[in-house]
Amino acid sequence: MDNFSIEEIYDRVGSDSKLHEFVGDTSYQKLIENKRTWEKKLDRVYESGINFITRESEKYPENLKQTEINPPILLYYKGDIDLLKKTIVAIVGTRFCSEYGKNVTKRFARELSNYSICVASGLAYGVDAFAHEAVMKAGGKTIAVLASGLNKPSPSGNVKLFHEIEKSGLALSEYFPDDEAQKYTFPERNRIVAGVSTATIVTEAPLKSGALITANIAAEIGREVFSVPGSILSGKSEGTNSLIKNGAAVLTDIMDIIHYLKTSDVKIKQTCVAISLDFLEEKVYTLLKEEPLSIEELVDKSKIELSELFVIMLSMEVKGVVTKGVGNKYTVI
Amino acid sequence: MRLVLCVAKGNMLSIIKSFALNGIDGYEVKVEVDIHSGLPGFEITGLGDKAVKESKERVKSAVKNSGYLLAPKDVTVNLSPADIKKEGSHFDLPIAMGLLCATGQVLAKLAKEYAFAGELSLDGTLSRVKGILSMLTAARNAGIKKVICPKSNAPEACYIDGVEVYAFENLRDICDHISGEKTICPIEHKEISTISKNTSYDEDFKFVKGQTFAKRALEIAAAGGHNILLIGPPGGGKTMLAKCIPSILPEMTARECLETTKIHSISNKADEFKGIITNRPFRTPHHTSSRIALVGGGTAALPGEISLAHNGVLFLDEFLEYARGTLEILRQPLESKTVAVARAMRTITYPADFMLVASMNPCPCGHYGSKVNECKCNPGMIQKYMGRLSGPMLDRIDLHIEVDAVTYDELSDSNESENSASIKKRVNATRVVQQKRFEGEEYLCNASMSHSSLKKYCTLDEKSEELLRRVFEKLGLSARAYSRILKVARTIADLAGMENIEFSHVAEAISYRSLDRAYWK
Repeated sequence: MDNFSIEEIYDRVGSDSKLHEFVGDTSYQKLIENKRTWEKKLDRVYESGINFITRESEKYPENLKQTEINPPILLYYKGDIDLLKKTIVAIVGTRFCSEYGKNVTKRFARELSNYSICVASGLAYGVDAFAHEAVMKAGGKTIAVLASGLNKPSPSGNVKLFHEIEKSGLALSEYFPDDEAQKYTFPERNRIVAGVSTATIVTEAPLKSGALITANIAAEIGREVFSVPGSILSGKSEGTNSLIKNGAAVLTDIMDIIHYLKTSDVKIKQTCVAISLDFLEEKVYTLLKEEPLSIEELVDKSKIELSELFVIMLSMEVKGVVTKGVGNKYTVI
Repeated sequence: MRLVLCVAKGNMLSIIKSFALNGIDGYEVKVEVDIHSGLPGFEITGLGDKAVKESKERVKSAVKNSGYLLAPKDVTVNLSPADIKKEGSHFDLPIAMGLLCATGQVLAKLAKEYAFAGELSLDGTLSRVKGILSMLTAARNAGIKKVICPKSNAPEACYIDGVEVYAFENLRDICDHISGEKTICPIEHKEISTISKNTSYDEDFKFVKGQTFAKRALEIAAAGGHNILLIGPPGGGKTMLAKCIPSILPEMTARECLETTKIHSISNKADEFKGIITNRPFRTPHHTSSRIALVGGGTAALPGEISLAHNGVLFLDEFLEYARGTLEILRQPLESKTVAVARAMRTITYPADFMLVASMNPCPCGHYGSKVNECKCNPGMIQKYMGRLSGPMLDRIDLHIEVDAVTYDELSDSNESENSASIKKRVNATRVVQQKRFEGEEYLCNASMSHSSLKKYCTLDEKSEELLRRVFEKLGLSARAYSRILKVARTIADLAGMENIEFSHVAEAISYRSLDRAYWK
């Protein structure tokens, strides 16, 4: 069965008993079902620029072949399929993320890109979207695994993001291109996110969250799960904190995960550039490292004149050292 | 017997001068009263509204109760020009005077010198009429020297020079004055600059704890006449801050006082209005207000909230709760500083030069970015919520700042903040600089600077220009923000008393542009 193209497999559907044996009953039924739809819509699929790989293809990622996660027979894709050969780390989390979750997500996504590590996520709102965005902004590569067909990207608010990803990265889906997302496709999709990744990071998640499903799958198939601790007072960090309680690795610094990847024989190359700060900038930076501060609080603590501080903050923003978030708070990146 | 005599003495037709209003402009109207034989009747022609039609009943009673007589004859009153709709109860007095002249009870040639406006009670007392300033301005333009009006209109009427205004309490006194039996002096003309201005306000910045950043932004907004948007969680003090704005607004000039008073005078805001307006208006329409309520209209094409806020502040609390259509109609007035209200019979242009102050929550639940409460919205919801703020609308707002709730420590801080009076001093000084700069232009403040002025007065040195270009690239600021930032930087430089804009001014201006930042997108 090795190295058959999908057409060749479909040719055998209904006539080849070996194939039936090979894929099992349910999958075979699905294949027969899909064959009918497939034949009808094949032209359209090609027109929309979608390709696919089968479990037997050379390009099918080894990571995904573990039987515990029921590897998809077919993976439709748009974009650069060779990304699956790179080191991939998943960043997942809640759709309803806080300012903290957003900053943390962006930070690790960007830092992973600086190490040329590919970031996978699920194109959902919140943490997923911020991870994809931050990677692309940093010039890295990102993989989006969709819970719907590639012609019906969901959620609707992230369609623009999806198109950017298919151009610069890779979009994957096991569903027929015209399929809409269903309630059950989201957890199903999570197994692929965990499957293609060497490690999974959960940046922010409440107790009831799809991100925890991804983390559990990752743990089950023997991949390392990294969890970013959050405030014990914030309900949005209850899930990540409980992951740590249950034995997940703590991620507070990018080196935590880099060390792990290095020990698992992954080649890491840092592409980061050093940034120089002047004396006053250094002073402000030290203050901001402790906690995010508003400009008023900075005036109080640094004893720098307000008018001067405006210039310092702007220059640090341009250097990409700090960022101004919601509520006038400056945060170190 | 006496009645017949009176009628015989009169010349049967009399023409009395009065005024009608078209928007905030008045124009002269001739009230023609003719008495002729026929079945007793009273007809008013000349497209008067219901108030004008009912005038005949008031006039008849007032004339009778003032001790004059009415002939049981056919009376025709015409308001000329007869093809323009006329409104208001101020035609009572000219009609009554016309009647008295036509019946010879007052000498027509003596009454000719005057123009009249006033509402009559049944007992002959005069009541206040609206729009007296517009009428007096019309009188001056038409070359009418003497005007008679109700005494209750005297507090505003005294500010118009070039016209002698005689204020009376009742019809009888007017007739005595005209016939020379008991003459009075015209009311004394007052200069607006002599009015003692109200300097104590209920809300003062000294009561606002913390929020130094927001206060600074409001000071800049007031100094340069910039529109400002306050974003913050509920209970963050946005409304409190906004209510303090009147206390730091610059003094009104005499021309501004008259313009604003004219609008308030014609818009049935009688109880809100005493004499001349010397404090900049602060209008706070509710977010359920209709379009008509905001821009003006109705059958009488009255001015709306934006015109009532002329030369002052229009405060729109809960900005995004206004219906989208309602907000978008503000776009044109914000640019042109006037609003044209078109109705079936006419189009009236009202001035609407106001400073827009708006406040809104950052997300549907209101707590996004708050240090006190946790937000329950997902980014999609926030995006959708912010989407209600249209680009063109945002384009017209120079400063957008975030206001967070004050913590207990800040509240209990015993240090009193700077009071409004000293902020106002700086604002006034900055306005003087701007008035000098824009001498001969149509506008008086940095916010309404034209493109050519922008090039002339908002130049940066090469180093700053280069720095600004990098900031724009790095922070992803929109191009439309460019001129806004420069205008605000100009005001900041003016506040600092600087001739040229420096980079620190630009840096500060950029920090007041929250919504240009990527984190809202």
